[in-house]
Amino acid sequence: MFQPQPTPFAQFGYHGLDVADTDFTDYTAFQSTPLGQFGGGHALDARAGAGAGAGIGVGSGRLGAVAGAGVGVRAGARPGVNAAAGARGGPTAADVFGSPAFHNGHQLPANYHSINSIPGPQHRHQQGQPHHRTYNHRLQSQSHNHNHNHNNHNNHLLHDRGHGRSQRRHRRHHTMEQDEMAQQEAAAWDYQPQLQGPLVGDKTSSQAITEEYAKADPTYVAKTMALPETYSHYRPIQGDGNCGWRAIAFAYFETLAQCGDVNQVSGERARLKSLDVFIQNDIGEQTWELMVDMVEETDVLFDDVITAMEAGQNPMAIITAKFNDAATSPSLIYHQRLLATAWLRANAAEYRDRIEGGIESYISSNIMVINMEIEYIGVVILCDILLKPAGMVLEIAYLDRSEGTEVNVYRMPNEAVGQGASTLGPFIYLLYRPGHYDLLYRDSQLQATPVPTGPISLQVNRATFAHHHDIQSTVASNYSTLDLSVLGMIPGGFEPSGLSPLTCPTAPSPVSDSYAHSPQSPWVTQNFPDNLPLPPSQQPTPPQQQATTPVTVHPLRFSKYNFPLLPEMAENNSSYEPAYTTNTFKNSHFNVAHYNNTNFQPEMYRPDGDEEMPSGKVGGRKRSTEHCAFIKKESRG
Amino acid sequence: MSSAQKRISKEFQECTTSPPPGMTITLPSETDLHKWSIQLTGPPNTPYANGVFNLTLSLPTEYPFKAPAVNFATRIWHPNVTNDATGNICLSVLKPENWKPASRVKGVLEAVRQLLVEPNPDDPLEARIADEFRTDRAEFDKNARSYVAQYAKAGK
Repeated sequence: MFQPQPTPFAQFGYHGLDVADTDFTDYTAFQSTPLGQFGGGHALDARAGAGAGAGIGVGSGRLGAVAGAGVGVRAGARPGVNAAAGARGGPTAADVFGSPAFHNGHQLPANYHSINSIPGPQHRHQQGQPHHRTYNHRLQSQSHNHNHNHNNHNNHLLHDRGHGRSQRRHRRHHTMEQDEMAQQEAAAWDYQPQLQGPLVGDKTSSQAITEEYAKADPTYVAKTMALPETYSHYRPIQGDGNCGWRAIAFAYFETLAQCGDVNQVSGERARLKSLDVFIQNDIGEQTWELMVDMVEETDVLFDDVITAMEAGQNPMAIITAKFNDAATSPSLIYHQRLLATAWLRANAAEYRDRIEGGIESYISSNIMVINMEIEYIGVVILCDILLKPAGMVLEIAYLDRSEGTEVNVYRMPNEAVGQGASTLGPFIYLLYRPGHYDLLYRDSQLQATPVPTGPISLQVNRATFAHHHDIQSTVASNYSTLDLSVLGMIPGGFEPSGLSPLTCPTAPSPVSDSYAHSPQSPWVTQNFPDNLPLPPSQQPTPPQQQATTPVTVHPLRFSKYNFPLLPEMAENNSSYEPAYTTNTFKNSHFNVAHYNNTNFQPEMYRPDGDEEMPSGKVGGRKRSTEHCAFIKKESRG
Repeated sequence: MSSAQKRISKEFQECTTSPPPGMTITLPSETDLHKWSIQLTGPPNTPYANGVFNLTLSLPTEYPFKAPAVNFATRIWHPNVTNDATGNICLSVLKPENWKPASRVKGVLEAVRQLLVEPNPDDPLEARIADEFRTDRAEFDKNARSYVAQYAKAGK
């Protein structure tokens, strides 16, 4: 009964993979990063949805976005949620994204930024230019002042303005009198990096940032008010001149720890270890001899993390302790500097034009020196050598006085720009305030647990159809525990048999990998075709209902009242929905992961009552509505 | 042993097995790797020739992420060394913005010795001595020698 067979779902998965292969070459490799544990089922859904969506939506981002949002509503999940999924994912994303609603709702803004402001490679290219110019400008000014002080911050700000999310922005900024801007920034600059307390602080609500800026000038107030809607939490990093390096290195380990996959952590350990030779060749045998113990600290940390994970413990305490220990923390950070140096020398041609004054002098005065803050180019380098090969994407939110009511978001590596967040690996979010970096977090990462959480819309469906209860309870009792405990830990374990013959078993692809980490998928594929059609007399099958009368037939689902744009979305639905909703809807029914989530609660649609939700979530939804409105405008114009 | 301790003991090993010319390095306390004693013989063909200077080198706990501190324990007439009991030295490699974890103690000691061969009056700690060095070399040499005779006699 549960014999794995290729199914439409598998094909759909492959479809996504196919797209990924053609378009995001670099990312297919690093998609193999199992992010499954960023919410378990959630990760599976995100991957699959994004991939499939790409098949449809790539090259026509707006259409895909609108379509995706429409499906979101009809699939019955909360509007903010599916808008996020669909924004990039297109049709199927919506029900594939029947994943934890909370998580995805907050990813919306970033997706929309990418779509609206950074549509394609061409733009990407142009986007790069201003950076280089302003970067040089800044370097020049800084060369007169090697100390890390507030004069630098002003220049820094000037330069970082260039990271704005739209090209229009760039133009405007660069036509402004730079001196004048610098003065403004100088006047507005009042943030003092934290020099007391831990090197890496505790994760706290990002409302703290809002409060900190409550009396600042209106631009900061607006931006920091909007910040918690996207980034629920932040982690202060001590601003001792190493904060950027420290933030990225810490986030790298944190992300690995959160992925919950010992194999991946071991893989990263081996990769960094193999880079020792790279560093050794770069700095020479003699210097290496002095550095080797320092570099070794990274390996020791990996070892500790792996040991903890194998023992079933959360390694975060170890990571935080190591990064706060004055004996180990500088070594961990200096390892990053050594990596960046070696990478910069090895790829000098690529960076030469972006570094004024020569690479050697830059290395000597900016990278190899301690307590010299990372600059934009350093972030790029570190991303290239540390994060990108690990499948991680870096997103930097710039909190400055540039125009707008939200922080500007810039993503790297370049290949990730313009892609839906769901197609990409785990994200590391940095908050940049001139001269200082902190870490930001979104809900999805916050709520990450080893046990996958269940999609809310699915629960609602179960309540509607009694026979699904039977199927699921059987499945849950027989399989869910097994799947969750064992399969989640074995990447690729089910690929060859359970998934699709189309994915290569030896080289995990993004899609197959996500399957492996999502316990429900192996049996989903064959179960649904068997079971769903059985009771057609009681109710029409869900997918058909969805396509026609979503609100009336599924009384417990969210309706158009939750999503003001529904009527318009509905018009578009018929053209794309049927082909995919069947698979994904089936998929969602068998996702029993939410049973294992202690926080799981079915959500009821009550049009007249106030919804009982955490205030943060309400913010998220409001935001998504705005974005949908924006998209609507875009698609018309 | 922490990575810093390993590093320091490696460097101490290096400095004792192949010390910079004219230097002997010892640990005043066997248990404290962070305090070194250096005996430096004045380089030949300088006013400091045949003088024996004692220096202390202390490695901060943050070493190698913070530069070591080197001081002349023996008084010396030199533009770049404070003319007092502290004996601070102005060495560019020890400045925080120049110090790199890849720098090594041996290099620092060599730089100290080089400073006796080639004083750097353009970046002085003792402006008066620097002036004298530039304008009246004979007087400078005389003062330097008299300091050696007074404070840095061999066997003292």
